[in-house]
Amino acid sequence: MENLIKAETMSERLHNDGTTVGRNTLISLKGVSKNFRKNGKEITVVNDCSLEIAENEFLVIVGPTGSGKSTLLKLIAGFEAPTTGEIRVGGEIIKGPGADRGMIFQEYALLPWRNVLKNVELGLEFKGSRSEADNRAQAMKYIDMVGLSSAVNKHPVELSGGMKRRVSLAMILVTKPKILLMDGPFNALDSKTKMTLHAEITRIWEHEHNTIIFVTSDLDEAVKLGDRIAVMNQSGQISKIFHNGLPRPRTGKAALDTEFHNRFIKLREEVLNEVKAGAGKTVCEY
Amino acid sequence: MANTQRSGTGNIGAFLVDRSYYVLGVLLFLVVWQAASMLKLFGNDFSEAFSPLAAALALIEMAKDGDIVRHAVPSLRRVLVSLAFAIIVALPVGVLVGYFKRLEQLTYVVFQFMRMISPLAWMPIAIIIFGVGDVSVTFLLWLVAIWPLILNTAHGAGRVSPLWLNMAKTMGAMDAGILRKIIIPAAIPDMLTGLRLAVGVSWIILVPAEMLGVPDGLGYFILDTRDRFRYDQLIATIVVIGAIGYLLDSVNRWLISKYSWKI
Repeated sequence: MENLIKAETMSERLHNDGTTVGRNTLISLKGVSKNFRKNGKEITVVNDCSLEIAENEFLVIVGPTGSGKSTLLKLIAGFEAPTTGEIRVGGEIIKGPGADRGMIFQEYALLPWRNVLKNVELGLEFKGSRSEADNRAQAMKYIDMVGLSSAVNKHPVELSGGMKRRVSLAMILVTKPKILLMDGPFNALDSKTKMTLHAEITRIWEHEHNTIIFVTSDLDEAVKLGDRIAVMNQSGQISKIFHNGLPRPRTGKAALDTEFHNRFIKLREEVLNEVKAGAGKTVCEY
Repeated sequence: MANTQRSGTGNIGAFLVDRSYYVLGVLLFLVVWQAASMLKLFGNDFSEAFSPLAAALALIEMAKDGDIVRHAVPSLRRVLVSLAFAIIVALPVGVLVGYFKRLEQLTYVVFQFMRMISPLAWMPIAIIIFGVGDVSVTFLLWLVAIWPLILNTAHGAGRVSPLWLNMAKTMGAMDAGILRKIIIPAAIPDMLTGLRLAVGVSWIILVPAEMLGVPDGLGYFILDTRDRFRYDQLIATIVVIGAIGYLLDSVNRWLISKYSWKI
């Protein structure tokens, strides 16, 4: 209980002044670069990125297409190894993917032969040890959390895009990863579904105290969700990190407040200018 | 599939109309066949024995004196035993070949080459090694069944989406878990397709294989009826072979419709 209170006050502090002072660093990137070979040319996708992410922080990464934000996330997930530099999680250099870092991919990865319940149970089956009834109860809890209790017996082929997103979310959340890596998880969803999922992910994050790194190209989403917003530029560098001091909750009634609205628009404008400045000659999608 | 779509209104009447066309097809076939034998189209000497009515009478006779069971059971046993051995070998090989690209490249030419050789060509070698009898026939059937099983399983295992594998890894899955929970279930529809092809080709090869020195089985009985000039029983045996083959294939089609998943 005491831990819980401590964590709450900490996130309080973070939300108000936008700093991570006094909190433990969970993830640290030191001079991380990633080169790929394309048509015989060596291209740098992620360029000398250094970043510290605190426990229970919600970090959003934005940037123009091709700025390497997805690659940066894959590096942290362990699906790619950095060309130079090091990535530590909890002080340890990471070696490949792990259950401590649950990644939610841009594409759906539901297993088509399993229904919603069985898909969400998958991660628990991998862990073994627990009983079937226990797995089922755990899975149901998270299916409930993402609002899919009425669809537990449906197969992926019967689900809409938004529902599949929710299943992917529940599939990863049920494994209780300390760190959630989300690669444009709400891209291509209609705005209503998006809004619901924003509220849900915020609630889950406040409830489960995960650390979230969230990649997106939607600046409204970035300002709504992030404690900090890191902007990547065309050269694959982190050009600037904005502290988002907007109070939470940032949805519903709170968003109607004029003062809040003005601050929201101002921050969004600043981030937009930074993204545009870093977009170089490429077409800017914002 | 296309048929159930057509009767997609879901009412029983449409379903019965659809079914009745299948039955009608069989009846038309029997009528044409009977007419052909009555018009002596199979020659003056044989036309009567070759008619469906003569075959039906012979079938009743064979059912009564136990000839059908006496020869169908060993045939089914040979096919099922060889299939079981084929599955034991082909599924692991297929999964490995499908999953590891290098293994697929190493085996591709050899497997495609072996696949195209009729197992009957191996008959002398089978007899040298195993002698005349059950073991040789089972070996030949095994040899014909493994290729569709291996190649289809490999195709299925190769179709596993990298997304599923990445997701499993980010959930902390180990290789054994990935194999059991992702790769094998993903390959099941193709395994079943392989099984259907294997059963079909085994049942076809069974008849000539049983003509090579075994004392029972439907293939043996074909030669036996010929030697006894019982052409009505020969036709009846052909009908039995076709009917059992059709039933085996129906079981496979049912398995495929039950265990296949759709994207």
